[in-house]
Amino acid sequence: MKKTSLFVSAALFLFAGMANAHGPVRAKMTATVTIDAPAAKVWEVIKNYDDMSWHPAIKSVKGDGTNNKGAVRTLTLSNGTITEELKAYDAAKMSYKYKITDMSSTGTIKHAGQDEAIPVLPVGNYAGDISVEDKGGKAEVEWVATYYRAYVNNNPPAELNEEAADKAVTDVLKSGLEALAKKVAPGATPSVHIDIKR
Amino acid sequence: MSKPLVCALLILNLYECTAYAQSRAFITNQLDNSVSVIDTQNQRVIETLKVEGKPAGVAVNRALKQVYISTPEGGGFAVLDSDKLKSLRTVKVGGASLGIAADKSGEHVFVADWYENSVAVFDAKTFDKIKTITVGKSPSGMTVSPDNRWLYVANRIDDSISQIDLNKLTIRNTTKVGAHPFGIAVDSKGKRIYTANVESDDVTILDAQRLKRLATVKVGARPYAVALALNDSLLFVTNQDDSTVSVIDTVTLKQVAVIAVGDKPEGISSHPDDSHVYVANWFDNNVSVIDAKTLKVVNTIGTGEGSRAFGEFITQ
Repeated sequence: MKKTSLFVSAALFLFAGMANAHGPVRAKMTATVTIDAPAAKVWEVIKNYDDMSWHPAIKSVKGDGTNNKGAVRTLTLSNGTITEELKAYDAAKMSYKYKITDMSSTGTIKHAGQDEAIPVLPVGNYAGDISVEDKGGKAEVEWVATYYRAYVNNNPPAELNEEAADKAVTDVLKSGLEALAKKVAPGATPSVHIDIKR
Repeated sequence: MSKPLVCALLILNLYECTAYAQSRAFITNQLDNSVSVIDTQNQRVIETLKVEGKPAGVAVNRALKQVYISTPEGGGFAVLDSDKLKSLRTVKVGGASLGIAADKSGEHVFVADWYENSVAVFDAKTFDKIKTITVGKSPSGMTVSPDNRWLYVANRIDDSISQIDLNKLTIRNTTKVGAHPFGIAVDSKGKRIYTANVESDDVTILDAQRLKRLATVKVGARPYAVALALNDSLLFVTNQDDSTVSVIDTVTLKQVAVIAVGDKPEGISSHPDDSHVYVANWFDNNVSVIDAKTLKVVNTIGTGEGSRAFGEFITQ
């Protein structure tokens, strides 16, 4: 038994070593949920760039009141702030795209002799794309996030590696889409599908 | 449909039609572990080859009719037969291979290693390693001068360009450019080099002989790669975070157009006809084809997941 677990740990360690050896590769996470409601009704809830009251992790949003390309919003979460810029907005297609331009940090760790700040969302160069589509009378919401891990050099610390990035982004997308589904169709038990490619 | 017909009818232009008949674009699909091969005449994907190891960079060896695909996770590169469209072998380099280039005579392959801060030089016949040249931090894009005398390397984290003497295989000169140069191009006369600087949102223009800085031109957000067309008169730059391509007039050094392409554009290459530019869109999984004369996207060709095509990816 002991031997087996040792063997497994060694294998895991080897795998982690290999996965990190090639450096940062951008990830593409696609979260989807189907909501039993008209697509337009779902879009109505999320369509304003400076309104993210539908997302449980976001306490408040400060924007400029427009949905114009270049609009900036600042999200306040329990552990800090995230600033995002609107990159594209298409009301007809019920979609918008944005990117993170700044984040506060939740603390600092020592790694490889350097102080490394831990951003609110431990990712690098994050961009998102959220859209609603009509699928036979139901709404399909797709939220795609692309990002790198936060640490740019080789051998990242656990706080800033791929696993930390994937977990944090999964939490944001999953909890957001679940809450959105429950808000539009109360009593539903939404099932959010997550796909990560890297 | 009409192209072969046009070719058949326009006897005078027969040379034009046949000269590029075999031109193919090799598009690395990093998330699919594959390479899409586009027949540029018919404008469609004719083959998809499996290449493991998160394929990223592309280089063409016209003399040997080979295409090299860097595989950062495979720690090396794959060798493809660009005529028969099959994989010939893989070559181990170690580390994280990203930027890749071949010399004009088709004798050598150069592979930049992102972490080892070096460029490995391989014999293109035997695939034996001839030399490892230490360069700056995180070498990425590379290109060879038309006279086959110099290899230029963008050292991303050092914000510099190195010029390697291909007779001696040593660095002749290194100079600073903008922040985080990634893609690099040299003009057809070997006079100027252009670098896309990811973090300073600009392009640095250097004299290709002495690496003297001639100008810096602002482009869009996070420019990744560059390509020249129309007799070097226009420079095309992929702005990854704007989903656009900036077009710079290389005489006035002014941005003359911004063309909307797919999302997260990265790799960009000019067609041998010198009047079309191909752009790989990572997020949209496709390739935008730009007419360099009208500055319009004339076609969008579906490829695979995570199309990067970093390097010079179209064969003659």
